[in-house]
Amino acid sequence: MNIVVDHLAKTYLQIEEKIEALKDVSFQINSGESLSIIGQSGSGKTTLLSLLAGLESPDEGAIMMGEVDIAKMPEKEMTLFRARHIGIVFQQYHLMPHLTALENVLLPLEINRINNSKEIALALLNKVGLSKRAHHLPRQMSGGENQRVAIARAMVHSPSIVLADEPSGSLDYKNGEIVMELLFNLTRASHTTLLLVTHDTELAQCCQKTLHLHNGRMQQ
Amino acid sequence: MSFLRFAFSELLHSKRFAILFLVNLSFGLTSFSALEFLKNSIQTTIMSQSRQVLGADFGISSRHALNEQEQFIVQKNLPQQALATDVIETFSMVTHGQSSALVQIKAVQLTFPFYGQILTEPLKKTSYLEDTESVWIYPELLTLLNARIGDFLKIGTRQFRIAAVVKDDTASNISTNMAPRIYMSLNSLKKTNLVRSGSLAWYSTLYKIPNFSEEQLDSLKNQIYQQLSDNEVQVFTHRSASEQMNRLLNYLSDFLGLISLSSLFIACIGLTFLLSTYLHDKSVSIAILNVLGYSKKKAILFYALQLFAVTLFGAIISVFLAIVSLPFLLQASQTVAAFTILLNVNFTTLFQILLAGTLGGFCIILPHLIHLIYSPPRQLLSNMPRTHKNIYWQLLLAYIPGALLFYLLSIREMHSVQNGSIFFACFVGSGLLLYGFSYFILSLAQKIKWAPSLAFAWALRDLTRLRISTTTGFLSLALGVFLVNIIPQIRANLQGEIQKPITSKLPSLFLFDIQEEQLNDIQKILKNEHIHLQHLSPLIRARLLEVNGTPFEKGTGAFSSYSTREQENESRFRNRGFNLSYRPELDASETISQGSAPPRHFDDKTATLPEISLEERFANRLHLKIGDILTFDIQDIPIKGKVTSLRHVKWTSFQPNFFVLFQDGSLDDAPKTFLATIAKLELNQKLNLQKKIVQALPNISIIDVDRLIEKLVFLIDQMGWALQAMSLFCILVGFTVLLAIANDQIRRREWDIGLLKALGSSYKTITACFVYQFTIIGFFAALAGGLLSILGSYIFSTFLFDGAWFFNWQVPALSVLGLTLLCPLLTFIGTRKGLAFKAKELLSQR
Repeated sequence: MNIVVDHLAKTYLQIEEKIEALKDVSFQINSGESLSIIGQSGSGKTTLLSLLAGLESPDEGAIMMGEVDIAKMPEKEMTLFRARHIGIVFQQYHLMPHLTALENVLLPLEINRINNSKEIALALLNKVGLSKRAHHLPRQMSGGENQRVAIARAMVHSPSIVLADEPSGSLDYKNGEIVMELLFNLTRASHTTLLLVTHDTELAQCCQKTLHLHNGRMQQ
Repeated sequence: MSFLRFAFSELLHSKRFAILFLVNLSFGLTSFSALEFLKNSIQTTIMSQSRQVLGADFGISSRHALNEQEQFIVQKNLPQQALATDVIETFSMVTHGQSSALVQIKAVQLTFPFYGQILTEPLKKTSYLEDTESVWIYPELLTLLNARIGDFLKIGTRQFRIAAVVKDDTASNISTNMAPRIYMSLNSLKKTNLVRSGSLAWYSTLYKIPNFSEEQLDSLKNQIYQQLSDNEVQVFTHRSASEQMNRLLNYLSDFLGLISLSSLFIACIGLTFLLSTYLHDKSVSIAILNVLGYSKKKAILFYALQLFAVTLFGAIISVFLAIVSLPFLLQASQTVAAFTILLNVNFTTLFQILLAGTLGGFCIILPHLIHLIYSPPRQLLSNMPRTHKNIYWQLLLAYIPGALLFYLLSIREMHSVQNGSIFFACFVGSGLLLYGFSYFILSLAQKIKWAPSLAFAWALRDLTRLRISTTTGFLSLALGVFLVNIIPQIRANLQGEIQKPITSKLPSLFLFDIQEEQLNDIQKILKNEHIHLQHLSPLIRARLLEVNGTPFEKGTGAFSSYSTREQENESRFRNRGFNLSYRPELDASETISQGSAPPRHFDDKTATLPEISLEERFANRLHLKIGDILTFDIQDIPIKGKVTSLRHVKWTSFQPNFFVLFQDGSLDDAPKTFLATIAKLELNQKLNLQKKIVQALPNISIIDVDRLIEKLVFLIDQMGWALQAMSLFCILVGFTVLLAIANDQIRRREWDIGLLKALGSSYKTITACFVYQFTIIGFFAALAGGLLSILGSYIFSTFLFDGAWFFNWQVPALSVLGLTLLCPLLTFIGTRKGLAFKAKELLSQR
């Protein structure tokens, strides 16, 4: 799915102060490509990601995903769209602590009411090398393993787009490498569009395109 | 001051926790506080009104007139300034035209009462009774006898004019609930020929002793009491007399106390839950304070003091709520009180409530503090779930103060170590039973593979995975429902037992004070009406002199607020005469529980001692057992007998039954009166027969059992109302706990909710998931509580009350329906804020 972002802007009001989190951001990414979003703290990366995920609406601009402008979508429709087309990988994994690895991966399939969900989930867990940990709880697994489960969960329902928010940020170097390699391999194999937020310039160079943000604006 | 400011601002940032904590604590404490105020009001009223209730400072009373020696002992001990007035009380039938009624006759001298008043209409002085052959009657007698002021009543063998109606009588007591009172002079009573040997009468001398303090009166009472050898002679001060009169009120307040304690305990469950989350959240703050230079113990103390302050505030709120609810409690208690209870709220009681509240708060906080103290810093900083490893014994010890406090409060509320322990054990047992039930249901739920919707499937899964919160919510509600249900169940059983249908074996009339020489006459009257006298039983007044050759000890007669109910009962039983009887075989309402029934007839040629059968609880109270040789004094003649059996008696049969039964034939020559019953009659037949008996044999008293049952049912209803109101409060506490748990669950799972939203789950599905969860908890809690209440009422009726069990399905059904409908609403209210949590905040978490 192609993504076209056109003159996106988002402003927050805090007491009596306006904070322009994003200003006039435009870019395009084609289906199956990978884009890294790089910038310092407070540059607007998180805001951009949340707008792309449809978790909030922009004040100005458009976000075309395929033929649909999600910026103007009502919340209910956006939720359905997100369920079907978007997968998110968080820095802190955010797995349900009382669900097993398999059950965490099953969640998107349950939400989308997909049949044969268990087989699909197991297959993906196998791809990420965790089929033997399918019935383990998050607290019984390491950080790297948890993040691999999170990646499996983000991809299990075959989304068109995966948004990854510093997926290796909480991991050591070695595990971080494993996780990133897995993410890239899976998204390439399934022609899934990948948007990756990162501090790491080396990692950013692994993506086909890079977007630099500084104080909410694009840097050339 | 910055310390306090910090503590205060911390709480402001945890408003929801603070509010829920306050609500839980104050609701839980309110019924306890209200009851403390009620007890204090009763005590204060007793102290302020007891002189008026007795009509004197001091009194001596017995079933017989004091003999010379006894009078000498009394006179010798009394101070010179003591003024005396004699009173005789008895029961009798009175007739007016075609109507007759059982009345309590109080025959007085013109000096009665020394305190208080008997206000009549038209206004009369007591001397009027002395000067004329007239009576004052209670107003309900005008209706019962279809009489008016000025009419004549036949009492005994004489006619007396109704001179006035009693409008206000400070000396009324609970006995006037059984039969309305008539006042007459002592001389008039003599003329009625009602009071004969063996008749049911109480001879009292009341004294006014000016300038005597309470301590002096108590000392005088003990002095005279110890010097009198006859157990039957009662010596009392105005205060001890009032306390004795209010036994029913004491039992009511005991049971109210248990329910209030249950509310408190249920609230504690909710508080524990809230505290667990709050302190878990604060563990990072504690770690940070530690890093900044505060010792961990000081940091933990900081939060402990903060919580202490909230607990104190909650206790204060409960006091206000208690004061608001006090008038309702007072109204309910009034029906079983001998006098008007005056509302009294004093600082001592206030202090006791605040102490109980804060002490209880400390007991709840302690286990959580232990967790924090023993958690390693790394664990605190990472806000990881705490483990119980290595602190198992410390945790166990930390729960002991709370359990001990609850146990001690149970004993305090019941005024009985035995009953308090039973309550504690039953409460814990019920909790375990309910826990077992929840475990069973959750195990079944785990096996369910199919669900009607995704939200339901998630709900089932969350219920089974988050067992602690599921079980806590379930237990709180189920215990509340159990308490609310068991009161009407027991009440239904009591009423059902008492109000048996017409085909039952309950008599219509109960006759007493039948003289031996009147037996033929009464048989004749009944024969003419084609009615039979049933359960004709002799009644012989006696005193217990010795047990196995040792003089039978009098009770101390001195009760304090530290006396248990068992001690009070034992003392009361030691200080009374006994009604002996004999019969050839046991009545249908009796069964032998230990030993063997005495042989049919006593043969003094073959046996040395007649055999005695004792009622089992009576024997237990006086520590008597099989094999004991008892010596009774029957009109100065000692009679010995050997205890060979203990009996279980069904007192609700309303048949003549006795604590002490001698072998038939052993007391034939003893002076006696007779009791008997007459089986079910139609109303007209009953009234007609009553009239005939009273006209022919006016000394015989007749209790209309149907009317008595009506009054008992009314009393039970009134008491049940008070108990029910308290139980409803209990369930209200259960709801606040559920609200606390629901809110807490949502807060703990904000991230989960945000995640589900990020994954594309709709708001509707997430809301439905939580609503399903708590509705399922509510439904099964109500079901379990209802079933347990049915079981409890069955045990109560069958084993404690020895009656038939009547199943009342309405209240349990209503509970299940009500709770199942209310839970979704409560969940929705409790979860609104949590469900509004923005999913995007997941992205900002680092």
